[in-house]
Amino acid sequence: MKLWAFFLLAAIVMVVLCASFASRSPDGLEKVMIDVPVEAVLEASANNCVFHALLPDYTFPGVANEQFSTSLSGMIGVLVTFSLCSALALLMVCKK
Amino acid sequence: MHIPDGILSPEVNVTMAVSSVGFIAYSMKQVYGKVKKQNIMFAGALGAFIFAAQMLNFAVAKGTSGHFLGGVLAGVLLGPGMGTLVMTLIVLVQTLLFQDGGVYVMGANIFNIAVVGAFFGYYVFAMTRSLIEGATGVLFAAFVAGWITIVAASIVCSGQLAFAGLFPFIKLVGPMIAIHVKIGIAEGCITVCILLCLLRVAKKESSPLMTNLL
Repeated sequence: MKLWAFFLLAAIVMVVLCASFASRSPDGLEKVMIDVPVEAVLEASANNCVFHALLPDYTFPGVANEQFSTSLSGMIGVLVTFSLCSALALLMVCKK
Repeated sequence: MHIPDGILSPEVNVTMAVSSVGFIAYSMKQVYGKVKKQNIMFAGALGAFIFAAQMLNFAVAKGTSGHFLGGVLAGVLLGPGMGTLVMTLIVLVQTLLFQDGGVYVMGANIFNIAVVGAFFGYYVFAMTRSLIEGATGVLFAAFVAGWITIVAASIVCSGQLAFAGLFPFIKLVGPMIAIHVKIGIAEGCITVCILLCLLRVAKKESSPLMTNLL
């Protein structure tokens, strides 16, 4: 199997499994912002909605099942990232 | 470690945005016309892989999680220029499609993840790699670079928050480092595992990418 295909497949597998295994605890930065009490700031950031993303916080709107929602949105992210990065590489290709 | 909107000041946002744009422009200049056709799909697939891996949060301490960043992996396998650009695209997708990280603070997030992670990470790798010969040197350098970039990014992030005037640096940087030294170990280990697999496979595939490592 081609190397790139393996990495892409691995990405898809990770996204499909992620919903089950990913930890729900806040990440390092979020945890520190909670501990060093900054509720006012966290509130400000929550109210500071610049725009509404299509797949907010890795969920697929309208899908009730949380795991399926995360996996589906993750899959879209994988494909979008794959396309964008490939397109960028294509733009940068050696021209002879 | 994606900073949400509303936390950083306009001064920090602008400074970080300008810095990131500078590194992005430099990276583009470095790689323009240099990418080989056979590596196009690999760049795409590695980007997708790192994006997916960043979704897998794991517990590092009670009530705290971390995740793989992939900056050093991108830098080592794609070079500092392309690695930075791929990581930048990942942050873009995360911010604009998933609202993971703020829009105004995107400059800071790109700086922490792409510039510190991939660009700086590559050079840490390159310098450390010369200490030990062969594949052992590559793996050792990858671990060290992985760990250093995570801790460095957490310090830079603390600096950004402190400069925004909301948090005293001293109060913030301690807990940030404490958590991220652990996340850094995971980053180093995961990077090493992936490279180890690639080094095994490379002998069969003799991918041009591997010439970066060997």
